[in-house]
Amino acid sequence: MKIEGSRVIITGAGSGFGRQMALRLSSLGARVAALDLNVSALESLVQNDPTIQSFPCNVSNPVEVEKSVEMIFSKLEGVDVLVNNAGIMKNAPLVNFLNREDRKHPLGVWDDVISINQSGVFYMSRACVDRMIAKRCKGVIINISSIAAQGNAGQTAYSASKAAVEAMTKVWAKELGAFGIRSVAIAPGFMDTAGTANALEEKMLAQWIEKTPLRRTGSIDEVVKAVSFIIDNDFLNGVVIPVNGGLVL
Amino acid sequence: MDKVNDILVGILKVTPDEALKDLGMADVATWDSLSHMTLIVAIEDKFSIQLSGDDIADMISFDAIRKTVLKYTQ
Repeated sequence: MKIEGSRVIITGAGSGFGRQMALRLSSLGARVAALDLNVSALESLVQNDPTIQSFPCNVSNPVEVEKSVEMIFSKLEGVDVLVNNAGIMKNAPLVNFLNREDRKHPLGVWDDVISINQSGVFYMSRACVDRMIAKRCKGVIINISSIAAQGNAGQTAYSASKAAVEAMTKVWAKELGAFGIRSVAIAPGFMDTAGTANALEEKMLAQWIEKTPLRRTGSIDEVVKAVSFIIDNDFLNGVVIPVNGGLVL
Repeated sequence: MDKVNDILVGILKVTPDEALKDLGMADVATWDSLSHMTLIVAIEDKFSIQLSGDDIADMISFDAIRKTVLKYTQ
């Protein structure tokens, strides 16, 4: 599919990967609908590129998702690409004996991560695909996973949510192929983003860099390039593309 | 209707004789919600038509499929 003229929804477009994807795809001629919970981040994005249309939306709320997707389909008269990028990272061991009050993995952390990273992808995809099929729009769902889908110590919820995202990617490739809708995931490794910096102590990040064969973190741009490649290559389906510098967990 | 029968045989793996009958979803083990959509895509491609959501939901027997295809092609 050509990026130029394609109609693209990006969730979590207010910052990080999502923001860069929105700006890059828009600069390549895509019509971008940017979703984010953070209204001021969306305003800043649109100030940067007024051709981008913004839609405040909490992807973990199925009612909000349906409303936003309906509005986008009406404004863009269809959608060709959905990038499920919105996500949060919260870390906790399954049991933490240093925490005398409550040793067990906080339920709130589990619920927050699963509701945004996993349910959010599910809600967005079902809303979009229903309308894509009804309008006979062919296209692609791009899910942003993580190297943590392989199982990263201290990230029960995050790893589980990303493994679910990869599983959904493979299911949808099989279910939706007949309609000309592809489904592909990207699994970034440790990237040079604010999210990584917030989630990991500097010492810990240095250890991960040491374990990465290319001895560095990846850049946002390297993930954005993978998104462009997926849109462009119409035979790519049902796979997870690692963008991780060769790191294996 | 030969083309419809061929699609039923090809996708639902019924015999050519069974394809001539009026079987419903409950009668055909391979006919579920997923194979139904594959069936719909094959019918749309073969007859160059675009079925409505209501038609897709109504096409749950071989006769209903034949009747709907006739509606679009006659």
